[in-house]
Amino acid sequence: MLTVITLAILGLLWGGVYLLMATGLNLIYGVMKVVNLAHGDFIVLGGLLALSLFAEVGLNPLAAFPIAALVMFTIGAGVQFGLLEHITAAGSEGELRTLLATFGLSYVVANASFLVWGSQFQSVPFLEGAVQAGPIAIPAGLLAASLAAFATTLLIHLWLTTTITGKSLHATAQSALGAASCGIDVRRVRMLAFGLGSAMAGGAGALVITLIPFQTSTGGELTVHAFTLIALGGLGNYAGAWLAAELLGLTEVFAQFYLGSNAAAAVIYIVFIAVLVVRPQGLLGQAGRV
Amino acid sequence: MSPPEVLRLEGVSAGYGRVPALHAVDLALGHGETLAIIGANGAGKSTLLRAIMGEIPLLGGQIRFAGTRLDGFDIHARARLGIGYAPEGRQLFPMLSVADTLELGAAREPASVRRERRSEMFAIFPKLRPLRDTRCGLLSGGEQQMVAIARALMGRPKLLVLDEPSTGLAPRVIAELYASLSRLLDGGLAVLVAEQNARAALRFARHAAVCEDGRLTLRGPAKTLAEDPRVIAAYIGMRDATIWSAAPESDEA
Repeated sequence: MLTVITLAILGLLWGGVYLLMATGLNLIYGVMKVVNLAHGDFIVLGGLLALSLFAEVGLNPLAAFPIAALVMFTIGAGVQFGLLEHITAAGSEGELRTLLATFGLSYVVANASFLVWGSQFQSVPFLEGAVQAGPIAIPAGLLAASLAAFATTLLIHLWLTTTITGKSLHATAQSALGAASCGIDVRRVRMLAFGLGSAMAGGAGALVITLIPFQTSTGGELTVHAFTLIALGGLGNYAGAWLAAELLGLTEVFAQFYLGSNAAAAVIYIVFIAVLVVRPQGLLGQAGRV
Repeated sequence: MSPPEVLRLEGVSAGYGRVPALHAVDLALGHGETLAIIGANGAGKSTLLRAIMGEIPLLGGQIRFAGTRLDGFDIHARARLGIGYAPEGRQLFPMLSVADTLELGAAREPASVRRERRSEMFAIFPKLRPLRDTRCGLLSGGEQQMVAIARALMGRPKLLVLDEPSTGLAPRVIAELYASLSRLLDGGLAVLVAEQNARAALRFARHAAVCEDGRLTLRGPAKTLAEDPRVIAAYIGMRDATIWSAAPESDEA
């Protein structure tokens, strides 16, 4: 019983980390209907930035978190301004083009990172002890990363739902023409959304590199992971993404413990497929909503 | 035309791609004036409004708003200059509440101003007040159109541009909508409305123009045009006389 409780706590904590990894992707998809295939590479880049800040300046990952986020915000906003804004066309053709562009971008980011950081697996040591809660021991690093992840996603969610700027992101997502006729500069909103989504990827990377060793080629895997999560929750749906993150976290931790890590990777996708068979629109997605 | 001119179009041609759907249109609208552009489906009314808002580029001519040439102004920049726009199909935010949607109409104003103007809108459209927390996607067509117009008014525009506000609405609701609009005119607001429903539009506006094949073919006081047999001919020519003749008398109220 104690084992099950411990595993459940670990699963929920990992859920927070997954949520942070996926929320940025979800935000970008929600506002622009762009699936940023470079998202995982942004996460890795954020992590490697945290690594350098740790190695060169001795900054711990929690302190590196806002810096990595800020750097990735700038890069993300720049990508939207310099690249995606020019190739978005209306309709499905536009979606395909942006998909190809971000696919290419993912290679550019991964290979640029390779030139700077090399190809070996790297990690940042951080809070390697355990927090004892009665009979249950929780890894301190995971706890800190998860709490930071929950706090960040919650703050972003509150910002999106209560401030006028946050609402203008929603407005632009639901009708760009409607938003523009309100005097909202939709091009700026898209830059902000892409920047913010990328910042969340960068921040997530700074935290995740303390838990999972990164290689410059890890990005693709992380993109798939994040995309699975938001597809599971219902694309563009924030509460759904949270639920899906917890489901994935729990599934992964339990499968790893009882079936081993090789089987765990498969179990996640079995859960994913099972959910989509029953609810093709995702856990909380609405049928027919684009 | 009274002197402080709100809108002036000179030789405006516009269209989709390189094919013009609008041919050398001249038009002027003064402070506090109301102009209805009527015509059958596909006559170019929406194209005209889209050109004015900068949704589509001009192929020729120029547009001035309150003296400013609008070349190079995006939709949002034109909205900020003082053009309130309620586009075709309303373009509301289906998942956002009425209150939030109205606030977004004045997104650049401080919160206190946004709230104040929102209360003004609830005074103009009292039906919206109890719906303030309802998502726009769940409203009836008439309510949605009220939200679209109220959202356009939130930025205190000098000119209100309405594209087919009566589409899909029952005659009684259309009458109600135009009655609310008429009450707004005392403040000097100019209104340009494109309508397929000529009856309602001609009763509301002081001036009118008939749009046919991308040209404004007939102009004059709305009352005169309402009696003009050529207006009916313009509709019949576009195989769309039903809107004219079949409008029930119940909307006289």
